[in-house]
Amino acid sequence: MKIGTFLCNCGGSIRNIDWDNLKAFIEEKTAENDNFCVYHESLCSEEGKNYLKEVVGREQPDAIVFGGCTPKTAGYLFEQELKGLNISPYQVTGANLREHVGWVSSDKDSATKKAKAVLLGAHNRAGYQAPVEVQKINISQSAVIIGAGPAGLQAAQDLAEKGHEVHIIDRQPYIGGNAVKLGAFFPSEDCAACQTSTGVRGVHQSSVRRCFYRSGFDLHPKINLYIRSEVENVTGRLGGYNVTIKSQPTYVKMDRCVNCDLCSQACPVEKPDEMNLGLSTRKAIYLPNITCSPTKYVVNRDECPEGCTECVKVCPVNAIDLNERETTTTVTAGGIILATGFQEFDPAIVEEYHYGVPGYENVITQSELARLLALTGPYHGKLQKKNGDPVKRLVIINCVGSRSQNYNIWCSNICCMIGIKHAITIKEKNPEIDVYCCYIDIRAVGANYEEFYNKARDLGIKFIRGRPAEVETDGTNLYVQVEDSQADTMLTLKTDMVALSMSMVPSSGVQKIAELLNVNVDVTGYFKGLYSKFRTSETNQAGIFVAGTAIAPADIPTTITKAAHAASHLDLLLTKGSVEKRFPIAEIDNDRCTLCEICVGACPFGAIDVVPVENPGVKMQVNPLSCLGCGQCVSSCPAACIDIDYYREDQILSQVEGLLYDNGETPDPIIITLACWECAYASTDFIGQGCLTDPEFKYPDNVRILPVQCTGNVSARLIQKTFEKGADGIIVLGCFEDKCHYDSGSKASTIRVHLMKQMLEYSGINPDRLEKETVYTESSNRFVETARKMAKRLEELGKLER
Amino acid sequence: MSKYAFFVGCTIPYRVPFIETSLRKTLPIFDVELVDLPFACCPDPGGVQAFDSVAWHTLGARNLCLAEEEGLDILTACSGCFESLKIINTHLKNDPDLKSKVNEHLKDVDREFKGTIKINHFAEFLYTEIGIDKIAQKVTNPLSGIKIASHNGCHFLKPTDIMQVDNPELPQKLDHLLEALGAETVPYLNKLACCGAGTRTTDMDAALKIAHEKIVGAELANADALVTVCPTCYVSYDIGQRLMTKHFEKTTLPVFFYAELLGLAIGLDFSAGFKMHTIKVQEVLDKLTA
Amino acid sequence: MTLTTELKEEFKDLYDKVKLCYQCGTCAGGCPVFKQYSSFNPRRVMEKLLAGDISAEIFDEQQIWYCTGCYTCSTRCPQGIDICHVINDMKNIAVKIKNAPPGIITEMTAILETGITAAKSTSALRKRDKLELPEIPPPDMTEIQKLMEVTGVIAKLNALKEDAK
Repeated sequence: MKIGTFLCNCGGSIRNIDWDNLKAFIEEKTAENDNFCVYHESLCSEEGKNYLKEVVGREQPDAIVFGGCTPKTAGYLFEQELKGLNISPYQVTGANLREHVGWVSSDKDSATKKAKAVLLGAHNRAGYQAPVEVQKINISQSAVIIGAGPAGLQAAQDLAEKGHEVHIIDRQPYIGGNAVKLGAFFPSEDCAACQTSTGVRGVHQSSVRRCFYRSGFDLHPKINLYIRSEVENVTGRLGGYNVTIKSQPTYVKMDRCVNCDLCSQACPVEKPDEMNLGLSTRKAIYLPNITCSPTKYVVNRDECPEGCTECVKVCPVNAIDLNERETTTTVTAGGIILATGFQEFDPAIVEEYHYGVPGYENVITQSELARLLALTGPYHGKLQKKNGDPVKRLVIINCVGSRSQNYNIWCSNICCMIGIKHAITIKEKNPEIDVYCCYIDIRAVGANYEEFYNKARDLGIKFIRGRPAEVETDGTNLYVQVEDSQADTMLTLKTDMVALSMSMVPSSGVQKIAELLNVNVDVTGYFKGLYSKFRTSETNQAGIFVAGTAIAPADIPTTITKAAHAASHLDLLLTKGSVEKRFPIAEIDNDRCTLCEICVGACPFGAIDVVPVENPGVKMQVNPLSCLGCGQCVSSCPAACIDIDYYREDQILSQVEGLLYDNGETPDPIIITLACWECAYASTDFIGQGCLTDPEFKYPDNVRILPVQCTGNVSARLIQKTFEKGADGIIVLGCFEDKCHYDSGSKASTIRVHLMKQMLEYSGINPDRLEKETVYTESSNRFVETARKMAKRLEELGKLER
Repeated sequence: MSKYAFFVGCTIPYRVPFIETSLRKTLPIFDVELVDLPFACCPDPGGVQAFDSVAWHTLGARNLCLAEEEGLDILTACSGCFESLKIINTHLKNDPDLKSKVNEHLKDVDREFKGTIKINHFAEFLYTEIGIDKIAQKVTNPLSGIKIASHNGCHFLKPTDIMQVDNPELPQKLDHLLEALGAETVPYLNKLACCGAGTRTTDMDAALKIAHEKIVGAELANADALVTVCPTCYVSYDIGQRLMTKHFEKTTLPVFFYAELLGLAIGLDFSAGFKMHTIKVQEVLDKLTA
Repeated sequence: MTLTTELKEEFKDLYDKVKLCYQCGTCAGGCPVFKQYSSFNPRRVMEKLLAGDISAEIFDEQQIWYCTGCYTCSTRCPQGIDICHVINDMKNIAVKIKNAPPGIITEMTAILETGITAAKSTSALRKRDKLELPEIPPPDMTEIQKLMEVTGVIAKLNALKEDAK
């Protein structure tokens, strides 16, 4: 293999290195195989770039070593300039002579010595670099959306309008989700049905907004709606997920039903209507809600009397088939959007408010209040108690189950505003009703929300800053005990009705779907976005997105925005038609694999599948699109049969060997730092730059750094072998555990280093020779401190005797 | 006959001894033998704990040691004693640091806390160990025709994570125990309210005002009597009602300790004790025999 | 008021126990004392701890010594703060800085002398006779006094009594 070494002095700024000496050293050390070395004052200048292209074109090296600035910036130069020159960026290995050597060392001798080690390390590693294979994977041109609430509907319409086939699934016999029950929305005070429109002005003929229950959503040629349906199973991977959908029959043919209501009138069965808290009744064949879509009747078959066919007899269009069976459909999708929404936290759990206890029938939840206030509700919008008496006073209690160490730690985001919305609705209709709202803090953070809150106060709604301690009854009235904390006084509010603003918790189906799809769930129980700042709608599984309140409580505007975000990211994938996987991924040596499946659990992205094979029954297989190449599987594998090209153990160790080359001569112990290529390595660059103006950043020259993909890649074996190669101390430098670029790598590494320290002690090596540190640029001084501390400790301990 | 170390406490024997009579007479009927041991104050969960938490644990542990040495579980009828002994027992069982600190002190009196016994409150004991059915079977004079406001009190139920007796926001066991005697229990305002005894040493007037709330709630619900399972609560309401006249209009709501009504229902004669109540109970007794 | 280093440490422990408090007032809303006597407000006590207020006023009789110890606040606090227990810890500190109501001195003295809190008055003993109740075995007072000595109760009690003079 012919390796070309390019040395660059960065315009003369790396003064601390004796370049002639360095060049002579590397030429002598790597004299075989037509290897060559050139020096340039500044390779990224126009003239320098031409020189680079000319030399590479003439010499045609198999691999390149670049000794100069950090490979984090040099990488782009080579990627740009080497186009068409028969060498890929993966064949360039950086020797960070600027940030890691020249700028941090104060003394020329010591800097040049370190530069030799760093350059030799990179040269060793370059000898292993082969071109990386590019894989191309086709993406199926359709999407599955789970949940047909506001988020699912928005995503479905966006994707359908872009021309993708959409399969949207919901458990209910209607679309709209929780929104259907909630009545009017805030702060616009329009109905839930008035929500969305497929149109974008200038593209479609469309009014500003449209009633989606009448929009013919399900008639869109690209949208396939599955009501009363659930996801039964999912197989496959990004590009081609096979989703099996189980649908319960509605017993009414959608395409025939004309909504004449004759069937319902003929039905002899009366049941409490779930939509209206059981306060009104419906038949066994019924329209779930008069504003529901699809506007079709459904039958609850288990409620039908034996042999009854009254509805079938009266149906003028022959739309009813009581023998309809459950169906199962399997569709293929290029990606999936999880729009499973939320549900109300069980109010009975917050015991001091006595929800559900006999005598407390007028303690209700906000969504129940929404139904009471709805014209389509059980009392046609009239606010009355369960016994029919009018409500003269209502007390709203906020934060029930939210913001609590006992129940749910999160703020549920919309409850303040929903309470205010209901208070305003009541006050505008019936100014004589006294409305109290007890709150901890009012969170009115959206556009026009504060104005909405002001309006409520204008209308005479009384806001009490205090979380009630208890709701009691004397058999007739309810009593709310609350401290008015702005007045330091205790209030006992005698009232007719209490509405609890319940916490929003994940939909009950989340766990099942998370298991089926191997998608991560947060400690809150909601689906976990890939990262908290951006890529919020992606999950740990490539091709699976999450939208709306399936990720956290949110109001409608945020839900719609999140859904559009998820749809646009899925669209990017689908529109591309195929994706190329370029960077290295994990490879499993199946001959040596003991089928322990530890790697399957170690991978935070669910990229390792257990695939059936004839012999020995199963095998572990890496999905190339899900794998991000972090190497957490590598370090978890007890059989050492997983490796990642470019970050293979022999590759890393070859570089370690170079970094230790002067170990025999130098009296100082040498510390090898295995730095994660993300925040950690960037922080070491930052330190180098910092040294230019602030000597406080300097760390000893016997600390030498090399990159790993993620500290999750650093196995116990690699640490052991690094010691064997001659390192006297090792720092594993990772990103902050909660900000790991590969989810759990840094955390896993911290645990591993902790265990490894115990093992070192057992084998007679002082555990102080191994440390884990975490950094990001703004805290990079933590590395400086750890490096100095270890160097100082090693001064006492001396070199590691083997 | 199952044997228990009877932790009689301070308030029962020297302030309301008729409650002690009701316990000593009723419990043997359910095959419970009460053994008296030279216990000291539990000690008071309000005063002593407030004074010095470690001393409270140590003095309490000494009481526990006496029962441990006899190999007997403790049965008490005072909710304050129940709270102290159960909290101390639980803390010492779960906190090795505290346990060794306390045992270091106990060494000076040749004792050691081991953590081998259980603490029972008689009301909880009746509910879980004897059972509602067995109690109902023994009833010969059902308490029909009277409405009872039941008062659980604080320390019978809280701190909930340690006491684990009943739901503190919706306690029902005491109501069931009363219903087993044939009585009718009524829901009433301030059912969960505290009797205020804990504030007595600091401010008697404030304590009386707190106790008064309960009387108001029970009277609004037309209760014939208030029933407690704690002697301290009993004192707050029975003797308390007389003292309340300083601030409020006079009230005469009879107050009973549960074991007294249990005795009545199973045919025992407690007339000597009933005469010692501050608020006269004759009206209720008449209603029962009518 | 100046606090010793030990008490400052104890204060820091208290702060750690209440730092999640967001002043919602659930404790006050359910407090039987606050309902009748507005000078005692458990939320305000928490507020002072949060603010690091270690003035003598916080240990005043108008403040913590009003707590009945009913644990209602601890049961309901949405942030899971054991408020009642925190106030008890504060009472322990108050005793150390000799800020305790006379009632507690009387009670501790009674235990030191008799082992129990309620006095064996003649009328009580007469009632017991009338009810034919057995004599209750008296506690071993040397044991009680020894334990009160080694746990430092006697020293604290003496200091309080000295202060009251």
